[in-house]
Amino acid sequence: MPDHPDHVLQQVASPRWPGRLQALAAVLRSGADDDARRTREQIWVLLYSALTMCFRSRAGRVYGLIREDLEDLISDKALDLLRRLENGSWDLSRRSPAEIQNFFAAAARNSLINWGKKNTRSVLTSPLDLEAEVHTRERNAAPGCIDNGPAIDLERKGFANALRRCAEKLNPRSRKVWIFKLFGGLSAKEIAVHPEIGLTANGVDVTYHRCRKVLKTCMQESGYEARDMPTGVFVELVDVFLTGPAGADERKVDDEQEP
Amino acid sequence: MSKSPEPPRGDMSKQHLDPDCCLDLAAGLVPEHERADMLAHAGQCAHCETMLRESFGDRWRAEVGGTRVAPAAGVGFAERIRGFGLRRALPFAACLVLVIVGAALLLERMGDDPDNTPRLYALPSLNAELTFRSYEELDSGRLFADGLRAYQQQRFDRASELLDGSDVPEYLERYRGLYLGSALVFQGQYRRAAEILIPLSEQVFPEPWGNEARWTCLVALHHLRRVAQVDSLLELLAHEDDAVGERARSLQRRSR
Repeated sequence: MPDHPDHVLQQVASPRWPGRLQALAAVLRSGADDDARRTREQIWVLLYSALTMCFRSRAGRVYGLIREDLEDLISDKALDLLRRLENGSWDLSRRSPAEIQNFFAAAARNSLINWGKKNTRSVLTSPLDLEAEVHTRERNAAPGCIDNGPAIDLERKGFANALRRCAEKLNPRSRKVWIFKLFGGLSAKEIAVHPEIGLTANGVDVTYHRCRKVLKTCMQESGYEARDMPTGVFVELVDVFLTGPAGADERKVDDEQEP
Repeated sequence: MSKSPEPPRGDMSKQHLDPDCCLDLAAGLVPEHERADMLAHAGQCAHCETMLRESFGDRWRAEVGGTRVAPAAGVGFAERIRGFGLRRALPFAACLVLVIVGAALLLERMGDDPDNTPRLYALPSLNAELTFRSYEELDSGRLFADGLRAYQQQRFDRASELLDGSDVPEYLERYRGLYLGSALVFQGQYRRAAEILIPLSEQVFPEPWGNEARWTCLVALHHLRRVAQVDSLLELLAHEDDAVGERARSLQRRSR
């Protein structure tokens, strides 16, 4: 694989999100930012994402913890940290990125332990627990890299390119609905209240099914049948949906999609 | 980008993304040239692409919550009114109390909206005499049998009293919990009922007890306003092909 980024491994030793969080926290505390609300939202997104990452890696070991419990735990912790950042009781200014990383990992671990203590139905060592742990271990130890021959690689890229071209035909908002649901696993309710969507849950369902229909037809015209998404499709689409504001030309394409 | 301490196999594993790296990518914190390299790898590695998808999903979910975070969430009430002076703070506090009470009353009314409130149904009858495996067990489980009888007569306070104090063999324990939980919901003791019913809702019962247990649990959680858990149970039950499933679908339609 000639284009593999070995050099990147040496260049970047630590993640960037702790530094970004520090910078945003400093702006928020100084009051220098005109748009404090926007800063707060950005901090929230980073706190929530980082906590989700830390909780996810440990939650498999806690028997009885359902998704809703996990979401509640993450939201509570993120809100607590945001409050502490705002009132100054949590100071990030003198912390190294590694310390911030460790803090998040410890926060997730402690929250899960506390949850386990409060909930009698949780058992920290159970067959299910072991199963989850084994699953996590397997996932970490044996990532499913594809080492295909050039023919399969070409076919995969062809599928991804075709889907990208088809997805470009959707208006930005509809495309985001489709991507949020398909790749992000967000529910219709969550998508409906996303700041870039602004639809009802029913509207999200309708939009999603229209998108699927449009894409299916478009892919068939390009010579591809509907099937499981091969590896690389999501990455291929990242550039498409990360650029351009949603909703700019939605009316035009929505009208075209009306049955 | 960082790598796993022990790359599992081959040259490909050297370039694996880690969760922190995926978070950076999803947050748009990676410079363009590095981003392109990382995406090139993720495009060929199912493991890394899955992690990247999860990170983007987390971000989108966080954006949903971000808009709901009230401004100045961290500034406490005392801090807010500091500098106001008592004469100004008191009317402000009084108004705040009125607003909170009003909102609570409104929420209470919304919560009791008959269209969105799941109706509580009595559990199917269970003949205790037939469920015991031996006369000895039947003898010692007399309270349980009486409790079931009281439940069927809709004397729920008496039923919960008897069931709570009864001693049954292990194979009947879940039924004791189920009928006790249901009797408690009928009496409006939602919190205690939920504590009993939540673990039971995850157990395997012969139908219709299984779905009825989940529905009864849903009713208790609804009154405790545990929206996420109610939605989760409702989604589960809506896929069932029985009377409980029909109830769940009907409730979903009304909620929309």
